Amino acid sequence: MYTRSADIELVNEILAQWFPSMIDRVFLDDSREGRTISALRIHAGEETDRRGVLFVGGTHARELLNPDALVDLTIGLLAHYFSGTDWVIGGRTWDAGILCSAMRTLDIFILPNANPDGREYVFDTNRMWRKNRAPLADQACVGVDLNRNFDLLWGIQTISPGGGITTSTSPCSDVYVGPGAFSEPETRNVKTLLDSHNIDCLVDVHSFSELVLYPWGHALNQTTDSSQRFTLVDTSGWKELPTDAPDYKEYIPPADLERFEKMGADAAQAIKDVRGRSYTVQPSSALYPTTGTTSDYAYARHVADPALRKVYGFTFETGPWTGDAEESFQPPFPEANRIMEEAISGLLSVLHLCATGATSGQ
Amino acid sequence: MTTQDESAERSTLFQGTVSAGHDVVRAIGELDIDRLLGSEQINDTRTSFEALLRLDQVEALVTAGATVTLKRTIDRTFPTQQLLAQVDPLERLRVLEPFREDQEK
Repeated sequence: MYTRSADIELVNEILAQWFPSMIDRVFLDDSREGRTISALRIHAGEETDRRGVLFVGGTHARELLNPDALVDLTIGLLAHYFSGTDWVIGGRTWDAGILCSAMRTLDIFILPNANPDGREYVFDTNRMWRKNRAPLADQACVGVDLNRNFDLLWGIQTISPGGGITTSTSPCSDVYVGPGAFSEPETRNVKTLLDSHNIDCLVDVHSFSELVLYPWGHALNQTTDSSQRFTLVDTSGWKELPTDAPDYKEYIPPADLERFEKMGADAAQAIKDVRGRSYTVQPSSALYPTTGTTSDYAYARHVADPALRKVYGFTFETGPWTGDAEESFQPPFPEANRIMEEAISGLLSVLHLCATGATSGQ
Repeated sequence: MTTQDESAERSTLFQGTVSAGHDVVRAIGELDIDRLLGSEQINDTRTSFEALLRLDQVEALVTAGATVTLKRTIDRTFPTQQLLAQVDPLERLRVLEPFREDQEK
């Protein structure tokens, strides 16, 4: 089911009320139109020194099923924790012990609906809306693409190999970067969570294409030349990528790349186990080049400032391209439920790997 | 008062395939087309991609030299009966009722 923004927040409110020892409702900045935005911090047991995981949904408004998947993940985690039962998701069984261990080891942050204004605009006005609903000074157009608004090479346009603009400085574009990095409360909220907690792993859940994406998005990856980093090279002349740096490849440490590939492959397998759908694991740039995205920013923080915690940032693209835009962004039921189950199984894989220390190498 | 954006919002929207030479695709970037990112197909000379298009954008694309194949009209109205929560979201919480901490067992 696709749930309205107010009801998603109501679920957060009720869960925090029902389970005060296990759930903290983290109030973040209100949206541009004044809607409440909160995340849940879920934790069981007495452990105080916890690593965190952050799952984000609803960044792009029209990708409706991901916030509902995160609501269902939250409820399912609690239900199986309390009942001590395995979680059977299609052909995949998640052992109760694994779920319990994740709950007792981690701080699990779930921000189910990062862009409530956009979601409501989809329900009420335009079901194909992607951005938030920021009014833009002196502009006829509305909204910022939140997944281009983060502070990683912010404002540098990107262009696909076929010539398509995939990050834009034009306010009317659906991939508009915004008037400044972190200009939007909805993006600052993710930064706030990363700044305030020991988060090791982030998954920003989008639709569609059946992909598990990892950094980098702005350039191809390479593991041999550590001088080729966005923090070390002069990027002041970059207005558009790859046009202004056609041969540039971004360094990623081999150990980090191995972890990204391992975690991504495990998530894809957990997804496939549900009903056989194969998600492709690849760097974001293999889909199309981007700057200012959520998951790249999460990982880039440690590169820009080694004092900050390393965050393994992923983007899931749930569900297939069906040939029909409405169906691909908003699958009808019961197919939507199957895609949500896949997303949940993939996210449980990430939780499991984080809980068992796969991301503990800082 | 109606902004340009609101006016554009009300115009008919189509899903279609745009096909053009790479240079043309680059040039039409200024049209702010809502491309379905990830749908791009590229060969040596041409790029094609799926997009959501207003009629004025279709006209501009054709004028620029692109080939546009319109597949269907997008109904921007959300199909409430079909897709909105068929079950009260609070129903989904019922499975957790037996475990509530805030009530006497």
